[in-house]
Amino acid sequence: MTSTGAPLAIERFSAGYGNGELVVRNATFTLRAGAMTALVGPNGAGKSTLLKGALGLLPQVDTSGVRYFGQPLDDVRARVAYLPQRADIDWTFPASALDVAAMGLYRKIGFFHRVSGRWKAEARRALALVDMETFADMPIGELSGGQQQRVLLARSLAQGADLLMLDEPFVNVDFATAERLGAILRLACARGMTVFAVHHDLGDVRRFFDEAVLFDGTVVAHGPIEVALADAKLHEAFRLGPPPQEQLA
Amino acid sequence: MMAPDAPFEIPFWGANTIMVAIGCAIFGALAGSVGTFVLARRQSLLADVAGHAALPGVALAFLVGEWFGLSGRSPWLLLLGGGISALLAAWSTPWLASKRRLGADGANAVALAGFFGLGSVLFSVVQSHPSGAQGGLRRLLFGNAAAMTSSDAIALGVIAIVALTTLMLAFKELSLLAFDEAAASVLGLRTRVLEWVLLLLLVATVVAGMQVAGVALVVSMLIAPAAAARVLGGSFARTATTAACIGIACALVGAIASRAVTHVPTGSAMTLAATAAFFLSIPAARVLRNSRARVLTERAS
Amino acid sequence: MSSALALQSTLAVDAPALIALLCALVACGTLGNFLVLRKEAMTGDAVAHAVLPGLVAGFLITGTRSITAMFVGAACAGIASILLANWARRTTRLEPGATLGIVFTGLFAVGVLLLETQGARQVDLDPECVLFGSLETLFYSPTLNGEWYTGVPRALWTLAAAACIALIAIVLFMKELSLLAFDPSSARHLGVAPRWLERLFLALVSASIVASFEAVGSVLVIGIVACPALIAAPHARSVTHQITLSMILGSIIAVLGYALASHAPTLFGTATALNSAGMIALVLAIAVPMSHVAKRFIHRPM
Repeated sequence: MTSTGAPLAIERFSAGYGNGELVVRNATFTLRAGAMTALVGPNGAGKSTLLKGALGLLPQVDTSGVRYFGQPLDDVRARVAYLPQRADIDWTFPASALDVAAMGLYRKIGFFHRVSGRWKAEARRALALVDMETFADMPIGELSGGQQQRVLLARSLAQGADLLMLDEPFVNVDFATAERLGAILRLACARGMTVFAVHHDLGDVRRFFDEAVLFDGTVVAHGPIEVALADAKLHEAFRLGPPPQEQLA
Repeated sequence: MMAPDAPFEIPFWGANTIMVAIGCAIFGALAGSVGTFVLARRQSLLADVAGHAALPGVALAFLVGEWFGLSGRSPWLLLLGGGISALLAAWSTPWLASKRRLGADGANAVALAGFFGLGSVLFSVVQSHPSGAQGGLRRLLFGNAAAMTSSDAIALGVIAIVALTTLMLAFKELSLLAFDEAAASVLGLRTRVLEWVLLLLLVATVVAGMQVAGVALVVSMLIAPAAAARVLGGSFARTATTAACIGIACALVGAIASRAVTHVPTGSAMTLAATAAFFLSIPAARVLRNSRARVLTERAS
Repeated sequence: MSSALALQSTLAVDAPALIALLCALVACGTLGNFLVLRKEAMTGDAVAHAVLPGLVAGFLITGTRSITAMFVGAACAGIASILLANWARRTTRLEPGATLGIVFTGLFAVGVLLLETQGARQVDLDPECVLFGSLETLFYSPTLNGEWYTGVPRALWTLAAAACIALIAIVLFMKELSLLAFDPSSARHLGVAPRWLERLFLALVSASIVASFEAVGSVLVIGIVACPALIAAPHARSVTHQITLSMILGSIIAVLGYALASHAPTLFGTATALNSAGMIALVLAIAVPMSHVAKRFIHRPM
């Protein structure tokens, strides 16, 4: 049931790619404010589709059942930040880390205004939050994968949003970078932000996240990690048949 | 045979007309089947580049022919020239595309501008040439089946038949390459050889189609029938066959239309037929899908 | 005396052509930077082909070479082609190059058909002019009693206007167009690049191409939309830097191409006129890989 004010409340949400096949079927869940929640499930289950669909990025998807802080996305866009998959970005683009971080401020800057000194300072502050201030003038193509991911995070933080929606932020980053990213996100949650991330690796969900939504096209479970990712639930989501104890009984 | 200003003329079904029709049909089949591979390898715009890139070769061949006193009327010289420059373009563009900050789209644009620019320059040299044979060049721009002679048709037919035979012989291997290059090389197929075969098939189609469709529009005969077949669905072999059939139909429609109605360039007629086939395939596919679903549900119940 | 005549003839013959060329470069090439950044360099080619039926239809309907009629017709055709191609791509899920290619060659074929069948060959709206441009025939022909601006070829005014509009649009929407090129989904999410902006951008590209068509022909249009940006791209440190560099380098190379076309024949001792548009396109195209090679030799401090 929808609770007004929850950062993200999805009710009976379905999405597909327009050829009639539904990838997401009747998803329903509500995020807990201030929590770091992972969206996990089998490969190809539609996790990214759920995220993109809920953000209104898929043209034919009906988003009437999706509410951010109790309202449709269009009314609260400034409060929701989106971090796309690193692979979706063209890293050969001529831009520096500072340029990318400043992109999160474009909405505040508005049409017809330049990115002046004041905004550049704010972008620098966002870079500092992710320890990338020294790389501010570096072209993004020369950054490592982990550094690129941090720059994208800086862009989202610059926006000053209350809800962060990330698509596979930890994929293809080394251990140290993953720890750093996790620490930054934890800090953000401690300051009142809500984090919702599609996570690719079931093994290390506990390392970073408090709660999880187990998803295989529908929502199998949602709640604290121990509850949502209990063996029985995992077997159900990954269609592994009943767990061995039950078979022996 | 025909009144000069009559919009329509009854096609005179002489031997020449029939040979041209057969030549066009074979070209249609070749274009459709090669086009299936072009589409599968996501190289549609490369085909556009290859088509346009034939122009400098043709113009150069003409000039060389004039220099050496060869007859500008023989189709083989011009076709050879066109084939060489189209091959050069089709080979160099993917190499260019691998450069950073250039990409496939950039490489296509550069190759198109460069080759066609060179073609324009050479064409202007040809046009100021005292010889009166540059009319033959002009029809290679937009295609003119009505002006084809029997020897033209034979040239077309020979090239197309050789290409089609090669395609049919190597079909299995080429399909695997188109689908999954990595798997093909792991399986021990000589991928480089196969890539060259596909490249040569593309060039052969351009060369064969130059006279009937013109360099600017031959790309449509390559991708539109193949795209229509793809939309209609089916296995790869099935789509290749469907594409060939659609190609034959469009080529014949184009050839007949240009012979029957004055001033209609063959290339335009063929392209319009092929484009129409593509747009018609979309609702046709839906109808097919619905009737198939209906049959399935009827069988289940 | 002869030098004054030579200067006069240069002003009459070369200056209009060069000004037209540079205006076309600015009009198409500045916007072309964003096309290249979006990895859509072939859109220029597509629009250049697709506008032909609109141009011809405008001419046929009004019976004159009225620039507004042709413009409106061409702009409609240009925008319609992109919308049609997008629809086809979404419905069939084929690769974008395929649907684009089918649509624009189809429209081009309609244009060629209209040209050839409707006796437009009597007027100088002939297919070759459309392809190869008319830079050689842009003359400044002042009338004896009129002001200086009456002698300026009409195409020049359109091109100058198109160049100004392109520059203004880029200055106004630099951030939004950059973000749209860099990360379209974020742009849409942030609400920073609404649909109308993308449509406006494509409309401006079409308009610039149509304006350049008459002077420059479709061969060179493809060249000036994408090549300047591609020449600048390896060296660009920011979007503004790329646009500026593309214009500077593009202009120098284009003028060089024009000079080559005009004077190379005399060097070889023949009197044939070489097609200027084609030569410029060729030179611009060659400059792209040269620019990439040059990049290797320009060391940047780590």
